[in-house]
Amino acid sequence: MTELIGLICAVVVPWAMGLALVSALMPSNTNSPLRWGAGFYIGFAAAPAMLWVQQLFTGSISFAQPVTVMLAVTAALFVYLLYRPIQSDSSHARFGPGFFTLFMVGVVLLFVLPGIADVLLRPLFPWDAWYTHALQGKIYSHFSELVEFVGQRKWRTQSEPLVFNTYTGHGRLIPLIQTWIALGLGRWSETLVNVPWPLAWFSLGLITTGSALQAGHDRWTAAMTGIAVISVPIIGIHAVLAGYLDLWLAGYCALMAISLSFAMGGNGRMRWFIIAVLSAIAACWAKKFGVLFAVLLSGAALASIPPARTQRYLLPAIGVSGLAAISYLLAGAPIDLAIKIGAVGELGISDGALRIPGMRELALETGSLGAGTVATSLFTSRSLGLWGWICLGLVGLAAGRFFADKQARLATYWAIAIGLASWVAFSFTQASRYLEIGTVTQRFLMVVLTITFPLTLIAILGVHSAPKPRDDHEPHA
Amino acid sequence: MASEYRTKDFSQRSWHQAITGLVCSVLAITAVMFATAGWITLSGAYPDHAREFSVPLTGVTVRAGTIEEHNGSLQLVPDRRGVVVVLFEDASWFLAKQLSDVRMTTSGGSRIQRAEWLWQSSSEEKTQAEPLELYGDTLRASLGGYEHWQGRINGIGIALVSTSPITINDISLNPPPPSMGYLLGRMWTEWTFLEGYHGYTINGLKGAGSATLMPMPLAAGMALLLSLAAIALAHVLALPIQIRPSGSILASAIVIWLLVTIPWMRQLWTEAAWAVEVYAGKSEAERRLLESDSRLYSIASWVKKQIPPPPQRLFVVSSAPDPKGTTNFERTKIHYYLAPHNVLSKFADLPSLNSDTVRPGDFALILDSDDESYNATDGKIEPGYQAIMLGEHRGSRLYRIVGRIDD
Repeated sequence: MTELIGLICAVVVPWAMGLALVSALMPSNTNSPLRWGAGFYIGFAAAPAMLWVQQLFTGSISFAQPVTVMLAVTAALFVYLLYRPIQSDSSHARFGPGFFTLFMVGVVLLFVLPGIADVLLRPLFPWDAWYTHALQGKIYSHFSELVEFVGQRKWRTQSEPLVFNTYTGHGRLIPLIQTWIALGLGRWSETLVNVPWPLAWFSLGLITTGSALQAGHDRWTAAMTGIAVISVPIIGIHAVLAGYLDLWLAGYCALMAISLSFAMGGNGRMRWFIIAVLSAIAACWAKKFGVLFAVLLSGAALASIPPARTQRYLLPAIGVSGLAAISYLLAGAPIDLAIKIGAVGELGISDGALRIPGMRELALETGSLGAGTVATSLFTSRSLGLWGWICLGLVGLAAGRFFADKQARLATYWAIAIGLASWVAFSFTQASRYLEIGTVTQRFLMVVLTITFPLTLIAILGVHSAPKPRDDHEPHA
Repeated sequence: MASEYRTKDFSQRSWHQAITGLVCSVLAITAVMFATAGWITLSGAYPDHAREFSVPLTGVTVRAGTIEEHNGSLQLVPDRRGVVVVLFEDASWFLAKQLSDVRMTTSGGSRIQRAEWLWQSSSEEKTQAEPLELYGDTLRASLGGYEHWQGRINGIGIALVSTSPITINDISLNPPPPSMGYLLGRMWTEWTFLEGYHGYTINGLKGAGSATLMPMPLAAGMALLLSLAAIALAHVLALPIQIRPSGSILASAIVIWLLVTIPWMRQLWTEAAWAVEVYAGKSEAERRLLESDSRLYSIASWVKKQIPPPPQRLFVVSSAPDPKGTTNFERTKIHYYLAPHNVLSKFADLPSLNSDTVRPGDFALILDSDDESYNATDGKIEPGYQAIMLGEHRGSRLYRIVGRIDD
C-alpha cells in the first residue's frame, strides 16, 4: 500500500505542478487538453530538475524534500490561478462530459490500455533502456545520489570510489525520471519506473488535440488529430517497449513547436515563448539531438517574422543559399561556414565536419546512402502508417498560406529546414551509417512528424481564428 | 435538384457523405491491389526486391558432418554414416507465402542419395522436413502446397545423405509463378501479418520483411489519393451526392486509416494478452527467469551474494564471439543485472598488466564455460594476476584479485 501511495504521488504531484505552472504561464483561454498535456511534460522535466538541484545543494537526493517543494509550489500557483480570471474553453470546442468525450476517450483507451498492461508486466526490453538509461536510474536510486558516470578509460584509472561506467552520450532526463519514480516507490522496479511512458503517450495526444483546438479547429477535428498521433505505430512502440528517450524528445519538441507557433501571433506571445524555451531545454536535456530541432525551429521562426512583402525576397534567397550549399557538397568542394557561439561551440560546417553545439560533430563523407532512404520511409514505413502522407499533404496546405501569416511561414520554413538538414546529414556525413544499420530512420522521422503535424494544423487556420478571451490583459497580436 | 438536396436535414447529408467516402475508399484500395497484382501477372516478373531470395552460405551451424568454405561455395563433408546436416543462421526470416520454390545448385550432386529441406516456422514447434528432388546437379522443391509450409519461416537448413563431399554453389528461394489469386492472397497475408515484438522493434516495425510486394502504407496512401481524386471529380461534375465533399473526404480518410491501424491495434492487444498470460502474478525475479537470458540473471543474483557491496569494482569479461567490437550482449546485459555493483563490462579479457588498471581487491567474473585463463595450481589468472577463485555458477567463474604475479 505504501508503494502504491508512493507511486501515485510520484506521478500525480509532478503532473499537478506542471499543470499549475503551464496554466499560470499560458494565456487564460488555453483549453484543458493542451494544459493537461503540456503540464505532464513540464512537470516530468521539473521533477528531475528538482533532484538535480537537490544534489547540487545537499549532495544527495530523496523523494520527500522535492515532493514537498512541488506541493508547495503547486498550492501557491493554484491560489494565484484562483484570483486570475480563468476563461472557459472556447464555446464551440469544449470537451465536457457526454457521449462525444466518452467515445473519444474510449477510442484512445483502445490503444493505451494494452500498452499499460505490457509496461507493467513485461521485463525491461529494448537495448538502450537497460544498457544505459535504466542502469543509471537503478544506481542513482540505490545510492540516493547522482553519482558520476564516466567512460571506461577514466573508470579504469579513477581513484574516487563511487564512479560508475556506462555510455553517457545521452542526456540525464530519462534516467532521472526513472530515479524519481523509484524514489517514490522506495525501491527499484524495472516495470513500475516506466509508468510515465504510457502517460507520455496519452499526453502527446492531449497536446496535439489541444493545439488544434487552440488554433480554432472544431472538437471533432481536434480529437481526431490526437487519436491519429496516438495510433501511429512507432509512437506506440516507444510507449509500450518503454525506457527509450525518443518519445519524450518527441513530446518536448512538439510542445516547443506549438508554443513557438502561438508565440508568433495571437494572445500571450511572451507566455508561449517562455513555454517554448522550457520545452527546448527539456528536449536538449532528454537527448542531445534536441539541440538540432531547437536550432532548426528557432531558425524557421526567425525567418518567419519579416512581413509578407519581405518574404517574397527572403524565401528565394534562402532556397538559393540552401541549394548552393548542397551543390558545394555534391561537388565535394571544401566548405568553411560556421558561426562561433562563444563557449557553447560552433554551428555550421568547418574542418570537414558538421557542427552543432551540444552534439557530437559529424564528419563529412561522400557517396553515402542518402536521404532517399529517409524519404522513402515517409511513404512506405509500417512504423509511420499514413502519417507521412498526411503530414506532407498538410505541409502543402500550410505552404499555400505562406504569405497569410507567420504560423504558415513557420510551418513551411520548418519543412524546408528539416528537409535540407536531413539531406545534408544523411547524404554527406557519417550519419548515413545509421541508415545502414537501420536504427535511426523511423525514430528520427517520429520526432520530425510529431513537430510537423501540429505546426501544420495550426498553420492551416492560423491563430487569428483562435478563441479570444473575455478580459485578457495581454496585448493582442 | 441541388437546392432540394441542400434543404435536406444535416444527418441525411452526413450519411450520404459517409457512404460515399466508404465506397470510394474501398474501391480505391481494391483498385490498388488489383492494379499491383495485374501488373505483375501481366508482366510475368516480380519486382526486384521480391523476385528471389539468395540464402547466404555463411554463418552455417553444423549438426552432422563438417563443412569447408571455398570461394563463396560451401563444401559439405558427410560423417561416417554419410549424413550431413547444416542450418543457415545468416538467412533472414520470411513468410512462407512469399517464397516457396527452393533451388540449390551443386557440384557432385549426382552422388546425393537423399536430400531434405529443413525449416522452422512460427506455426510449428518441431523442425519440418521435405524431400528435395534431384535434377542433374540441381536440387529442387516446390513447397507451396505443403501443409507445414506456413507462417513465418524463422530458420532453414538442409540434410543430405551422400557417400562423398558435395559442394553447394548457391541456394535460392523463389516465389511461385505470378497469378492474380496468389498475389492478392499474398498481399493480404503480408498486410495482416502479426509481427510480434523483437529486439529490433524499438527501431521500427519490419512488417512482412524485405520481400513485401507492396508496403501497406504505400498502398493505403495511393488509395487515399485515388479516393480523394474520385470525390473531387464527383464534386467537379456536381453530382448530387457531392454538394459538400468534406464529409466524404473525412469518411474516406477514416476508412483507410482503419485499414492501416487495425493490424497495429491487433498487435497491441495480442502482445498484451501474451504478457498477461506469461507474466501476470509473478515477481520481477520470476519474470526474469523466464527470459532467454535467464542464465545471466541467475549468475548476477549469485554474484551479488558472493561479493561485498559497492564501491568494490567488478570486471566482467567474456571471450564469446564479439562481432561488433567492444559491445557484447552477455557482458552488457549482465552489467545491468549486476547493478548497483560497480562493473566494467567493455572487454573480452582482463586489462593487460601494462595498463595498471586492475587492483588488489577487485573482482573478476568470467562468463565463458570454456574459460582456460585460470590456473588453479598457482592461482594465476591471465594475463598475470594472482587470484582466488570464489566459485562457479552456470558456466561462469568468479575471482578475487589478490595482486600481480610479478609483485
